[in-house]
Amino acid sequence: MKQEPVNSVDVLIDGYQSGMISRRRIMALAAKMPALAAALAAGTQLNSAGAAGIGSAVRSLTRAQDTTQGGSLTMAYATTVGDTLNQHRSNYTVSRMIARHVLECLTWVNPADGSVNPWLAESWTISEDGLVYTFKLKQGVMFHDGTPFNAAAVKANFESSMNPDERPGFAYQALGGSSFTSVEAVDDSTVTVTFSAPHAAFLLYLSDGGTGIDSPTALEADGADYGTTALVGSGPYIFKEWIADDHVTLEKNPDYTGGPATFGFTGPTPLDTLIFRDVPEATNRAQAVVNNEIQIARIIEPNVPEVDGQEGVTVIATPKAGSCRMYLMNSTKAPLDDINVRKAINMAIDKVTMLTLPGWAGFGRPGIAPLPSNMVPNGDLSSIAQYDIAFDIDAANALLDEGGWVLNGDVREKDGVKLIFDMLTTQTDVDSGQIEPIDGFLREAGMQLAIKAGDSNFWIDGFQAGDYHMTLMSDSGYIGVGIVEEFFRAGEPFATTGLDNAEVNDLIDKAVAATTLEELWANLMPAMGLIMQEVVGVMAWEQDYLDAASTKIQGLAYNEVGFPWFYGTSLSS
Amino acid sequence: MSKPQSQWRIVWRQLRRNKAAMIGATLLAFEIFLALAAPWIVPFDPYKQNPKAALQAPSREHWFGTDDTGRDLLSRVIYGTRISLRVGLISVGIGGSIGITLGIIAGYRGGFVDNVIMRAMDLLLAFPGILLALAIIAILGPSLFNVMIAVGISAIPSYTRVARGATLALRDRDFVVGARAIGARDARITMKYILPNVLPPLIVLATLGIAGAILTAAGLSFIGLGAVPPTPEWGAILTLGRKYINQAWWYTTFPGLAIMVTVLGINMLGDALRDALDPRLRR
Repeated sequence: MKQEPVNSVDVLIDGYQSGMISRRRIMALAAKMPALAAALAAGTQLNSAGAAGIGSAVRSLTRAQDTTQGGSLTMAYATTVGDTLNQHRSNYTVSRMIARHVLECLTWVNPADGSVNPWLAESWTISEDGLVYTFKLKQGVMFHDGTPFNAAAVKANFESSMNPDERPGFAYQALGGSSFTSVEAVDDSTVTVTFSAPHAAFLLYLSDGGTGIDSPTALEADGADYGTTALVGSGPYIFKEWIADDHVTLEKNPDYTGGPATFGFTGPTPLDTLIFRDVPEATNRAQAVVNNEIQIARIIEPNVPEVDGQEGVTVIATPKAGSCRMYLMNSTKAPLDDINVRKAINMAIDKVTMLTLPGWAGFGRPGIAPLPSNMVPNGDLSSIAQYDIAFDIDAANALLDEGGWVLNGDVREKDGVKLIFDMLTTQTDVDSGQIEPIDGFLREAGMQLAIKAGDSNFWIDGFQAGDYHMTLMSDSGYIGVGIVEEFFRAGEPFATTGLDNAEVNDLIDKAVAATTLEELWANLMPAMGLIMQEVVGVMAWEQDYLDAASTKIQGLAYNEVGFPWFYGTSLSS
Repeated sequence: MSKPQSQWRIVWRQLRRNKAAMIGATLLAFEIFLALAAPWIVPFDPYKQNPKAALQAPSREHWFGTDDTGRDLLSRVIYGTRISLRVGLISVGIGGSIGITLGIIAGYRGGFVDNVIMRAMDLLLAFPGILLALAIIAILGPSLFNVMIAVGISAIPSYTRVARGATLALRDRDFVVGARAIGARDARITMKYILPNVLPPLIVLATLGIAGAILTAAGLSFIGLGAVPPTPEWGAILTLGRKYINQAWWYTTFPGLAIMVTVLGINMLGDALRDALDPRLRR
């Protein structure tokens, strides 16, 4: 029998998956073996989120270099471009995910292990105080309009994102917000970025489509129209057109040579055309895949039964990078100013049963903390899991009885105050079937919801004003510290639960200012534990993004935020 | 010589002879019974969820099946009858009371008052009813109560016009002129002499208006601007059920049927009432 070499990629991966080789060992080997790193990136899900503690995504299909060329692939979202394709101004996640196919970024976060890899930046150094980043840039890269990529291009891009006279987009916070001081082109291939305070997540943010690098020539030439009629990068796809509320069309860049080795693919992408289509109704998106009108669509849980089992269609679940889906509570608004009422709400909600309902279709996992397990180092929440309040309807009723909340008809009340909570939400969330069941659970303990639903603006305005008792909230993104800060650090615009715990604030501040990821988590994990003890929400579930996809799709990958990444994707006949 | 019959007696006799009217009346009577008896006849609490029974097809236990949280659909549809009839009656009450008052005033006073009122009605009539209702909801906010106000306001011009027309026809009749001549006040004249005589066409309008109000309210709830969950209003049930339309046909079928049967019954009765009240059609 032929003896396989001990360092063959397959043997190593088998060894890791069987537990014979530790994660630390496999990662050390991957750092030295590009083939192993590529195989890990392509097909193997590592169960931890890596030391970086960021979102890890499932790579569902095998990628192969020799693959069918040509064809057009269409993906449907509810809305493709919510505001603009100009990533210096956009605040819309899907817009960034689309733009990332046209733009290249300075770094690339490998969703398989959370590592930060060189892309347009070949290497970088960070000053000891964490305030100055120096990047060495890749040479010989050209934008689609022939403009060379260099330090001046990076400078032009970052300055555009940080322009105080323009509406800030996601990129503004990604580049450090008010702590961003300057960007300088030292020479053609060297750029420095200076901050006034440490921005530990900076390299992670540089992987996002929102901080992708546009051609400075196009930025200047197209002015206010940039992002509407033009989007010029150096990536594997070239922008063709955007018809608002209808579609975005991208075409193959035939001159593309490739990105980081861990892409697992080099050269021009196989597909001729990539189309992103706006289809607002989830049911219509699901049916379009089933009917072979489009090849892939982001769907919601209630659509799963009509897609599952259909010939030629599969459902892909990718853990969402972001916070848990939380029913946040405003602890300043009676009767939720009583922590025992908040605890009773937690006790009344059976998260396990909830996930079996059609609104969830069995996807996701019961939530524990503000960040889901795929967003923390090694997926390990055990140090704070003790603060999760378990479902116990009898205990909920007993707690409310002790507190003097007496049942009057269907609802408990005390001193004229009824346990009816305003649930601020969007009509979309109501339609998704993820709001009403909570009312059903609460009724078992003599509590009820008064659902106040509207459009996104209604919801966000009410949330920021604190005009709610409860609301279903989450954010997507792979920088966990930013998400926890956003909702739970007193004084932040979205921190409206009324939580103002000095120790929590201090721990979050230290996590934000950390210069290493180890330091970050040493502060963020206990901060989350304290937040859980304050009971300002129900950490309801860890969400999966769901895509209905044709089985003809080959080489589909997902980025670190849980969105499809179509470089190297092809369609089988 | 036989005793002269009252108008209402004649109308009732006409209706009894009209099969469509009797079907409509029977349906409406049944709906009213369901609405009044709901708390005692529903087999399950319409708000109680049972996750293990989510999206179950119609069965002996759940005649109309269950929804996505396991709630019994039959119970929810029955409770929805109370809501829909209430919406219909209150909307018509708002529109009718304001519209009839304005119409009688406009028709009786004439001149400048008539002009002002009718130009205001023309302004309201320039907007399609559903758009007007949407605009009002946008100002007041989505809720069932606001739907009643919105539908009621959008119906005012119709009642005003009919009331005004009928009042104009009666204003110069002998009994009205005579009442004025003996010094009766305008208020007394309109209440005692004009209002009872303008009612018949308005009753027809109101009957048909109830059906229209129920449909509009269901439509507004369907797009999320009316009843909010977990209120078992038919339109609200429809909007939640539509995403399960391929897997759970019962979720949308039964509330849809309830809307259809209710509107059909009221329209049949309303049409027959209109025919019965039209002296040109009487035998």
